[in-house]
Amino acid sequence: MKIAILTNHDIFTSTKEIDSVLSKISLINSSENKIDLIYINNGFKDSSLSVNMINQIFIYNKINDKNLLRSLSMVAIDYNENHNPDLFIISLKDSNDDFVPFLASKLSIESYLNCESFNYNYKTKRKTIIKPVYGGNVLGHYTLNNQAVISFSLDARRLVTKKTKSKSKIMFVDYTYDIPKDIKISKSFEIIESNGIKDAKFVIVCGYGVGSQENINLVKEYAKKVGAVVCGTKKVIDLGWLPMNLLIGSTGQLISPDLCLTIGVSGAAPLLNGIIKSKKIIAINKDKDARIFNYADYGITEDFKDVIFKEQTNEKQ
Amino acid sequence: MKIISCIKQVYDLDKVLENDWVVDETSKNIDISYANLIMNPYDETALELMLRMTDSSKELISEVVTIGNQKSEAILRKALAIGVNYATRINVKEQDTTTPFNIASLLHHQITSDNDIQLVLCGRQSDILNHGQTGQILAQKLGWSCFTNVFNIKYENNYFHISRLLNDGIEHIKTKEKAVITITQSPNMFLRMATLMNTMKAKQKPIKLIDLNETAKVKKNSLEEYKLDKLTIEKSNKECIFLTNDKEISLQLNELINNYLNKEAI
Repeated sequence: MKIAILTNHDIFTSTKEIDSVLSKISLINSSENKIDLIYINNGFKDSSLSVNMINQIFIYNKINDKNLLRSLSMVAIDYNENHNPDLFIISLKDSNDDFVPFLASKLSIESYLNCESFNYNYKTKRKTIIKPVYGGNVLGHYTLNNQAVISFSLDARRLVTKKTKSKSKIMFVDYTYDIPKDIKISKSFEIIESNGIKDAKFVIVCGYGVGSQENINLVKEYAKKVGAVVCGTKKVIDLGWLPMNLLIGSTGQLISPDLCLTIGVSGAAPLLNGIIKSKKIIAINKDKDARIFNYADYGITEDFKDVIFKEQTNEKQ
Repeated sequence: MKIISCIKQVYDLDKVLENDWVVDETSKNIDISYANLIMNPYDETALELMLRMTDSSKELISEVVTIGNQKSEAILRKALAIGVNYATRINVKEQDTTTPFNIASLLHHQITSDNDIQLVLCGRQSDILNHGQTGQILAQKLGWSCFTNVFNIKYENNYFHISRLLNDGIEHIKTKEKAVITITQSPNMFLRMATLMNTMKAKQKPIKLIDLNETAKVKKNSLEEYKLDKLTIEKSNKECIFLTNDKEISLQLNELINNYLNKEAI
């Protein structure tokens, strides 16, 4: 079993994204398996770099193409011709959704986005992945046909990976290709201030039940006092009550804070997928039958304003 | 110049009760057929974006295309009622549309038959198998640019101004080239309502039908079906402790927060 992980994360500074990928791979009889890392970096010369669980790091150091998707796909195709991996795993900063289908289409192999895990059974030679289906309400278990390209769901969860003693072998690759002329597209980038969700210990998730933009502002004031970060469900983002980068759920951010307080959240599956790894969940919802209470450690069935305002009054007293 | 919005009819999963998420051991499937059929929410956003563009420029023509049986014409009629110019249905059996490669092949066949198409909009994913790849594969097949995670598009001075959300910010793109765009959720981008009169008129408007026989040749080159072995449902085994009025609830909440964050009293 040969796996190739293609990344453009800065592996020289941190390997947490690679660790995230590795934590989702389950390989029976792991000594029979090889995991390679493919990376594009023109200036890198140091051969002492090592990444946990990675056998070989292929550094393509002659690529000068500014088109990210094309350069990654050309590198992947070159690697594929020389090493023929059973599985490509893609871990890119922003472009997993673009690149996974793009590469799959180029190689005519199957592809899956946002997988939960990958498993290889050495005896049966079966490669399986698990990914959310039916809007995250159900898990689909797929057997991969032959070669495949997949990505895992992005998450900010704290991860534990097995430590290996062996050192990665660095392979410099001098591959180049003729760069075709690109069509003209003008691009600009607007940086959004980091919202701190990924590292927050206490997160408050607002749902549609919060009721209005004004109430969201009240929750924000409360969050300031208790040291929490406020974010929202898809409905709250759709209504424009909070900015899009504060979306929690399958299509937003997956979080694992020490404490997650949900307010007016009913408990739709995509949202639950985003908060389910929180250490403790406290839910405030007036509807006692709301689905969120099946997943919460503590429940409050009062109006959230009564609870929060009293909290503030108590504090003053 | 034409913009196409690819729309899909899906079950409204919000209407499925938690206890109804049960895998039938015989069919290895989940019966949610009682849920309403609606337009995929991401496709609704894409459709509204398309209509806002065509509202702003008379040179743009709008068209919706769907793949499915006759039932799926309901969403095409809805689109016609709110102002879309043309509607097309590609008639196939349900099992022919289980992989994004097959769907992209069918759409590719349709889009290459019309040179006027400048922009193709797709929702980022639909709610059943959640592959989320049709738009990207379609772009690759067409050899067009592909922009994902787009939440806004405007058409001004012969250029499309596209805004997409990335991890650290927003990328603004200005282009007049042909492109496939996948649409994510967008603030205040709710699909407009049709008037009763326009709904009635839409029932009389023609829907172009492309039959499977015409597209069968496309499918021969598609990837074989993805092997979905089984479906499982993870049920929560948590026992929620409800805070009662024995003690002021706000104080109890305060204590819980302090306990779990190991902080001094707030």
